[in-house]
Amino acid sequence: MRERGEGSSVLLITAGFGLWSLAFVLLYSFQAVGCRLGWQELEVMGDVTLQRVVLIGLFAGGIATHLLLWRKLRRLETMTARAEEGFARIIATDLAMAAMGASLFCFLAVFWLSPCL
Amino acid sequence: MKENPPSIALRLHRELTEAWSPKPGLGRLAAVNHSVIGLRFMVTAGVFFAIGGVLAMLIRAQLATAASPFMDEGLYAQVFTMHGTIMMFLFAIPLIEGFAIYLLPKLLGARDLAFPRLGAYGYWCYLFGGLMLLAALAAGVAPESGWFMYTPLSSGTHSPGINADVWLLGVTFVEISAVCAAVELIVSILKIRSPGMSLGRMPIFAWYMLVVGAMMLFAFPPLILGSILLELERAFDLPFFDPERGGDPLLWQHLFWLFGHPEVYIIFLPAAGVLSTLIPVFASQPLMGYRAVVVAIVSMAFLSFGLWVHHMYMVGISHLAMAFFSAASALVAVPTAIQIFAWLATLAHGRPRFTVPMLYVFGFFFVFVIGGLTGVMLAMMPFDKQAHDTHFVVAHFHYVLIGGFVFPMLAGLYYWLPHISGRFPVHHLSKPAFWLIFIGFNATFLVMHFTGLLGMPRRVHAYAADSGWEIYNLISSVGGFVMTIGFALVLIDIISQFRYGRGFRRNPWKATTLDWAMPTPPSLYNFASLPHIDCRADMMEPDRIGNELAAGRGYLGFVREGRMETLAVSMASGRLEQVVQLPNDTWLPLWTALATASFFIAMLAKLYWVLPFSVAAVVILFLLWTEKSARTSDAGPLPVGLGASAVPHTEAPNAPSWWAMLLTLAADGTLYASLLFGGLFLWTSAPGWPSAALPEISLALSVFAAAALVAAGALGVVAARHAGAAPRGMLMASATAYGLAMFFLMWMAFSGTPDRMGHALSAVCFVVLCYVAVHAALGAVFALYGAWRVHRGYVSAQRALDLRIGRLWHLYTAISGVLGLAFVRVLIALGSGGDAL
Repeated sequence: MRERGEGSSVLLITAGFGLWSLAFVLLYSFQAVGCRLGWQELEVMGDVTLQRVVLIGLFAGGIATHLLLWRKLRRLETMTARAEEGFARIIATDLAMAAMGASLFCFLAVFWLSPCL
Repeated sequence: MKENPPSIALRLHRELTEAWSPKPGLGRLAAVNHSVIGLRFMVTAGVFFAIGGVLAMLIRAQLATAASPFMDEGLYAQVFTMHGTIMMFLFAIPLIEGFAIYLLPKLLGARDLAFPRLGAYGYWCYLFGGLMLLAALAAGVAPESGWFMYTPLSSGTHSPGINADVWLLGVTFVEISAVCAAVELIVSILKIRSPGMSLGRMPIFAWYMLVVGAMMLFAFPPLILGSILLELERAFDLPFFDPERGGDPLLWQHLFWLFGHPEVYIIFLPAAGVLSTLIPVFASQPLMGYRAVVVAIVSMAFLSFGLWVHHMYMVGISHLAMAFFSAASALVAVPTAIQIFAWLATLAHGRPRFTVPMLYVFGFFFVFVIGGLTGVMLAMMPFDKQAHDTHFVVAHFHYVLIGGFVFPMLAGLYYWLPHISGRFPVHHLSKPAFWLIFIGFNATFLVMHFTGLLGMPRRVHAYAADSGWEIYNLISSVGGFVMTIGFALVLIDIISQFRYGRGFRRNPWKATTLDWAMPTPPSLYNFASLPHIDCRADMMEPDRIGNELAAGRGYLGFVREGRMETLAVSMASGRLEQVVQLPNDTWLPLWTALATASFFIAMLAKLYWVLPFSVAAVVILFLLWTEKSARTSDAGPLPVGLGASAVPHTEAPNAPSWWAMLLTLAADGTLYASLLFGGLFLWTSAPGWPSAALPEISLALSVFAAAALVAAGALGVVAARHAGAAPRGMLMASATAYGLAMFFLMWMAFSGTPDRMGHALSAVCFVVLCYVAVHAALGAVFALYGAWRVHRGYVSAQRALDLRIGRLWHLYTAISGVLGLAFVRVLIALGSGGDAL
């Protein structure tokens, strides 16, 4: 087995919270860019602004990706035959679940808080 | 006649001692062994701690009474700035590094870390950088803008002397040491372990240090970038932080706290690792919830990067953005609590022995939990608005840092002191010392919470007599001096233990980790032979294993041609993979650090003509490091004992040094991403945009530069793939293409940004182009070096490590170069007022 494969199995540990970090960066960046470009003034769905739609879209996309990642890791975990290699995948699955919880807790405010004030 | 085990052990010890023997006399300065370097780090950090402590006493003497004439405000500013700077950069982080460098190979069943010379180089950088700061303090030109160096106070306009330059250059010099340590620790933990030690069998301290190493790798680059940008502003008037010229002081705060908050956890987690190691020993019970603790520390590492803005609640950030950071700040308490409950559960399920280390564990629980709770209070915006910049905050972070770091590290010190000294402590002074520290600490800082709640601001050198703060300050000052007496007793206690401690045979605490499966004080080679691990490495029997390893009944229980060897394994499974040949003592790390020092000193003295010579000296000296690894024939698999064999690391597909380059590029990429973030941040937030004068970057030149970078990178990558075919021509062509790219990039940087001192837009474009050009220059060095190695016959299909390491650099340079050129064009479009996007 090539070392690169083993490196990627170690990298799986960072997948869940890596996704949380990506969601954080994207939400924070789009919040700033949207405010700079005046998206908070553009109403696109009734009185819902473009800024809100973009942020909620990113949030929903992030949670969906978290779910997909968790399911994928669960499958990988059950497929791992060797116990000594399985530990990385078990904690990767735990971390993916924890990261999904963290995303829900940290980013849920996109639904109601003012993005530019 | 067959040798009996004791005589085998003695013969093996003699052979190994001869192979690992250090140089005598002044030659000790050439030492690279991890035990020596680790101890040097720890002792030096201890000296800096004492100096930082004396400064703290000066602060408390000043504040003990209202309107004290002891220090004027300028001197007071230098003293509190240096206190914070020393404690954070010259004490806490280096102590962690030294602790890990000393301990990890012993816990992982290895003879040394992956890169002993890098450890030695890091130590010298730390020492010289620290001495720069101390020399400035002695000369009365120490930094005086606070340990966080906020702009515009630290900008040239408000800090015209060299005080701020000392901080920016000195701390950056010291940070080289931290990044070196991060790379060394991560690669060593992932690769340099005993065979059989899979990730799930690693001792818990190794998990902690793996996570801390990764945090250091990604946390330090934003601060290094911030320091570079601020120094560029101060030295060359590039206005990144000047709001009148398109810059923004908040950019500094973002870059600083992007480092500064993870830094708190970088300091806490190793101490928590110490607790997770020694609580099970004194509870006679394996750590409860090993898996949950691993999950908790990885979670904590990531969450700690999402909190930085909670230091900036007052600067005017939107409610939504603040909610992200506030939620993450509260959430980080969860993984902390998981660890605390794991330790409590371990104690509850075991039969705790109340020794001196456990006294400090008790001190930790008491102090750190209070610090954690006040931290959750400060994470809530409404409370933070009340307590912001008051002594409440000072009290909080001292509870966290002293509770979460100093108490556990003192527990660790008392626990591992017999390992270092070979003597078991007598403990006459240990307990009084603990109680003086504990009582003095709480008298100082518990009371300081009230001083803060009564409204006393931080960083003031005097206050009015009728403010009502005097009695609280007086109690704090008395407490501070009591605590100092406690620390002085600890020092005397340590010295007396070296002098009067009693001898012991092995493993005095009845520990279950490999660090005690060796004679103490340890030999430079740690283990006479290396174990095979078939259970969790913190649930072992050091007494039994130690005898077997000493008798050579493990891997590498012999000396091969006088070489110093250890083993490398595959990352996840711990399968035996490579024989790593370790370097002998050498002066090169010291010379390289001196050359590096010449760069920083020349910058400080504004002798800019020296800089190219310093850079050339550093590059040449680093290239000399590779001289000893040169081989002109393939060795193939080598026997390592116990019927196993492994290839030398120079012939392995991905040797430790390959991983080191990958990690170095990860740190480099973080710095680059921070730079690009900085450019976009200025566009979104800084006043004075759009810019009146735009950079004039020719599209044709950009395309030529990108094409040259891609060609150079591709040639380097293809050459590495065909290492067996002696691809000297390809590498020479790659170097030529890099030369062309460099020419185009420097032309664009200097002629295309005439307004780089007039507006931050041009300044950012200038720095991005310079960044790419520097990488192209180093790409040329890698290509030329590869060509030389091929020419000398040091490269074959098996011995292709040099080219494979170069391939990583070529790939990174091509991708980051094209990205940088595209970024410059996009930023110019945005900066020209392209708000219609």
